[in-house]
Amino acid sequence: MIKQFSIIISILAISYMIEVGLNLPIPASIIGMILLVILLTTRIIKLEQVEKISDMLLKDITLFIIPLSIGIIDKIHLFEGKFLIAILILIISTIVSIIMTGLIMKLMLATNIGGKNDK
Amino acid sequence: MINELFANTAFGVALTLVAYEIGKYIQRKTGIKLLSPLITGTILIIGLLLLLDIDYNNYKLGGDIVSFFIAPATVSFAIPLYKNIKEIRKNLLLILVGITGGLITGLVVTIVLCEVFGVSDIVTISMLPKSVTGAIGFSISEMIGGVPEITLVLISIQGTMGYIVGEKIFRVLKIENPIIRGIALGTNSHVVGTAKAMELGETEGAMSSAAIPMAGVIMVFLVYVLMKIFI
Repeated sequence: MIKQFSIIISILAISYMIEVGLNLPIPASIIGMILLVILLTTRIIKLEQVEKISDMLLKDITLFIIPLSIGIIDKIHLFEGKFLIAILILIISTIVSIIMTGLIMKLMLATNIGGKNDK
Repeated sequence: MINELFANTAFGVALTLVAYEIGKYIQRKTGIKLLSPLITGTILIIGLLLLLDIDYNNYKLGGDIVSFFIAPATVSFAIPLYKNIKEIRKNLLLILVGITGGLITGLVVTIVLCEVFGVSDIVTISMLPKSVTGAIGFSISEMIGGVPEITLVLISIQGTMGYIVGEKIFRVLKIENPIIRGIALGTNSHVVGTAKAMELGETEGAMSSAAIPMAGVIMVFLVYVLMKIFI
């Protein structure tokens, strides 16, 4: 497990260097994710070499996020009393976005520009 | 005084792990999937900190150690992407346009409504990355000068919303294609939406898991372009 983690964390360390070195507007964790996809598809890294640790990290990803959401107690005042309005906006935008994603893709399939899908 | 007792890294780590496990236990016992350990755990910890009047910064000593793992976990999103790469390649254009369209819709609706309701700039900016998964949304929020903590809370609420309304929307719009269902859920409601997608079917679940990292990457670019235009 430590060996698997060492691969992931080394990729991440390199990604931080890339982010800072090239001054990219992309978070290092995303650079690392893209790097790992490339390393996997080119078979430089095999799936088995990182699969266990990745499953473990992704399974409990909510755990890692909890400490950050605790920070909201220090920031809630920034809503200036408009917390519920923000939630309302969020609800509307979520519904509209799901509808649009679905409709766009449905339209693409119907007009046959979506690829070779047989459905 | 009492705060000295909690001024060590172990306290925050212990509290987070225990609250998370309690949250998982509650979710399992009640059978309510929406009662995510993220929500119950957060409420438990905030409750305890307020109750015992513990300084947030003391909790943060250990909390930072736990949240360190967000970045390696984000790198791990490469795996669901890689595992579904064949299916994605076959429908690449469909999937990319679908994800991008969904994200742009979310951004536009959010910006317009925030403007209409007079929501402050800092909250509006923090709201922008709310479609993508917490780990990625957090980094994006930081990058564009938002408040990551606000972004995170909104991300969890958005995920919950998608879980609730997703299936109903598919039924009303007669969307039966599992790829579309999966991508729509993963794009707009990340991990929580993926839980719903997995209930709907195997392809739905796989596509939704793969949509999470793709939406994250596309969101980085969309938000970057947006910030370049407006600032």
